[in-house]
This record gives sequence, structure tokens and C-alpha cells, in this order.
Amino acid sequence: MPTLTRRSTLVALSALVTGASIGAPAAAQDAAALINGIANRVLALLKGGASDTERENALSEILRESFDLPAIGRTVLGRHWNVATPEQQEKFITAFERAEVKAYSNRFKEYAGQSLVVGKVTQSSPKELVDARIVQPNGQAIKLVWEVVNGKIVDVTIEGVSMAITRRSDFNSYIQRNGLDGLISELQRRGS
Amino acid sequence: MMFLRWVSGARRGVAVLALAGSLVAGCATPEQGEPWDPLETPNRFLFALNKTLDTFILRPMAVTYRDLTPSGVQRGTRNVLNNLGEPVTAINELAQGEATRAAQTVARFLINSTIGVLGIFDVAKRIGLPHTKEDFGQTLGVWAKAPPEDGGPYLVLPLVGPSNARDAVGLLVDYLVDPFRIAAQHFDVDWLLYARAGAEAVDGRSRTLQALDDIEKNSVDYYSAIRSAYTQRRAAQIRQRGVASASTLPLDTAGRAELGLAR
Repeated sequence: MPTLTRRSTLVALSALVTGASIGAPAAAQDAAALINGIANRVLALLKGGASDTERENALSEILRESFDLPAIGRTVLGRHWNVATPEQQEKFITAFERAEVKAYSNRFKEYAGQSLVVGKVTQSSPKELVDARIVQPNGQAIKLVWEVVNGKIVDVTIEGVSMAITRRSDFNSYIQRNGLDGLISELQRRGS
Repeated sequence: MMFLRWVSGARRGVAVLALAGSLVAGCATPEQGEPWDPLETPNRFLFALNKTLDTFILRPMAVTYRDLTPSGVQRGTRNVLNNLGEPVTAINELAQGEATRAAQTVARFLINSTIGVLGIFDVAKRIGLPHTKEDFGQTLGVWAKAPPEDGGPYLVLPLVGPSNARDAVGLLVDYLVDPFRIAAQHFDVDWLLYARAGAEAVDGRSRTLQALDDIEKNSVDYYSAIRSAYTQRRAAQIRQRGVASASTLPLDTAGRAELGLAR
């Protein structure tokens, strides 16, 4: 299993995939294959000799294709979505997408030889839950569950903690103190 | 005379209540989908205090430990600490009605303490007895009628960090029933307890460095993100399935309706 030797810290999506889902129906195979595919593309990107900006652009593209960012954006805004003006909604989604891509980009910069092992897929229509594990160089494993709807990732749960739920709680609290416009400005600042 | 004194006493009482009321800035009723946090103001204060202590004391120690201690020593330390926690885990597994797992935990403890040289080597894992961890907070969660996400009011405990009413009671009970604590205090070797607590803090902190850094960097309100993550994590531990996705919580359906997803 090829690994990078650069020393660093954990990422959510990473390295070479070894496993495959066993005995699952065709659609489920797709969900597992989707995760595998993304991981392979990301690894290839990290190992390739592209410059930082090229890599960031390529990563940005992979992420926008693989994650249903608009849907995630609406979920994490929760009840504030329906009371926002269409203009605010649009600004939020744009700012949110950019901030998320930047966050993942920074995570990948700190990649250090972890590997992603994809496990079984559970159907829970309309979504598919893909079990996975990130194995650290020191042997520790972290349990992940990817939630896939219509061929795109809508959430990832790490050791029982859903990223969408956590983000929603985070944003909700921020909006209560600083308003939706305040949140949008903050996200714009982080995405730049 | 007595009457006048009573009146001024009552006024003071009202003042104290008003002050206490102003500290409880959170909602009187839980906001749907969010962890109940009626003590948000004092919690945020303690959170900031803990963070300062973490930044200046615990975190540097944890980083040094992670970077300079040989990985074998780190593993051995972790194993010893895990081993010391097995009796409490076994008691809680029994309390949750999991007799088989409790027996396995006892077996782990005996094997690792003897063949594994006081717990340094996790021999039991290699013969098919993996490590499990149960605490009284989880036991309460298993027996409570409330959903696992509901642990009572969210609490930030000084030094300990995020908790809630259920888990705080759990910490206390586990402390009281811990055979090692009882033995150490009986034989007057309290310093062992402090050493153990210190090792747990540093080793435990070293294992959450990446995760917590990531949450802090990528959240707009670190306090809320931790509150949410903690609540979810504990709920997952209680369910012992390790999965809590956005779709299994009672969500405001408005935000999800457009996606065509059920509650």
C-alpha cells in the first residue's frame, strides 16, 4: 500500500482504498465505489507534483462534484433557511461552499499516510450509509460513516459525530449572536 | 423588630434570585434539536477558562508526550490506563445487563494484569477480547426513558470539560465505586491516584489533538461545536452502534423537506 512520508495530521478523506463492499446490491456498490473513487483521486492529486494552487483548484473541483454542497448548506442552516431572503440564501450557499472547500483543502495539506478502508453499505432509502475506517500510521482506526444520496455525499459521521449536525448547531449559535448576515461575512472571510 | 429584619432578608433574597436569573441566560425550554443549555453563560465562562489552562498547560504537555515519547511507551501507558479502568467497565456492563461482556472484561483484566505484566501489554486483545469502555453515565443513558441525546442540562466542568447532568453524576458514581481508588486510599498511597489522573489527562489529550484542532479551526462558534459533538458522541456510545446521522434526529422538517428526505 503506497503511503506518503510527509509528516502531519489527520484528514477526513484520504489515501488509498483497499476494501470493497461485500454482497451488496448494485446501487450500494455505487455508493462504496463513489467513496473509493474520490479517495483514489484525492490520493493521486496529493502524490502528483502539481503546484499548490493547481492542487487546490483540482481539489475544489473534486469536492464540488462529490459533495452535495447546496443541500448540505440548506441542512446546516436549519430553520434559518426558510426565514432568509433568496438573496441571503444565495450568498450563504456561495460563502459556505467556498469555506468548506478551503477547510478540506487545508486538511489535505496535512495528510500523512493514513489509509481509508471502505466497509459495508447499508440502505436506508433514499440514502446509503457507507461504513469506512481511517487507519492511522500508528495503527489507530477511526470509524466513519458516509451518507450518500443520489450519488453525492451529504454527511459524514466520525465516531458517532455527524458533521452536518455539528455544523448546524455551530451556525445556529452564531446566527443567534451575530445574525445571518454576520455568519455570511464570517464564512466569506474564511473562504478567501 | 423581627418583622423588619425579615423584610430586609426577603429583599436580599429577591436580589440574589435576580442575580442568579441573569446568569441563566439560556432558554427555559430546550430549543428543538439543540442540546439543552440553560447555564450557557457560566458554561461559556468555564469553557474559556478550561481553554486557557489547556493552551498553557495541558496541550503543550500532550504535544511533547506525543512527539517525544517512543510510541511503544505511549502504547504501554495507554494499556496500563485501560487496564486500571476495566473493573469500573465490568461493573457498568453488569449494570447494563450485559453479563457476557462483563465476563469478557473481567477476563481481559485478569489476563492483562498477569501475562500482560500489570497491563502494559494488551495480550487479551490478541486472543479475541477487544477493549471496551463503559461508564455510569452510559449506564444511566441506557436505562433512562429519555433519548440518548438528552442528558439533562449541558455542563462545562472545570478541568474536566464538556459534560451534562447525567454524565456528571456518572463521573461521581464511577469515582466512588472504583476499586483502585478505594484500595489506594485505604493503603494511603493517594499519590498513585494523582499520577494516574495526570497520565490519563496527558495521554487522553494527546489522542484528541487532531480532532479538536480540526473542530476549532473549522467552527465559527467553538463552544457550540464542542457542545454538539460531545452530546452526539455520548449518544453514540450509549447506543453502541457508533452512528448518529443528520437523519436520525428529530429535525425541523422545513430545512429538509426540499431534499425530499423524511424526518
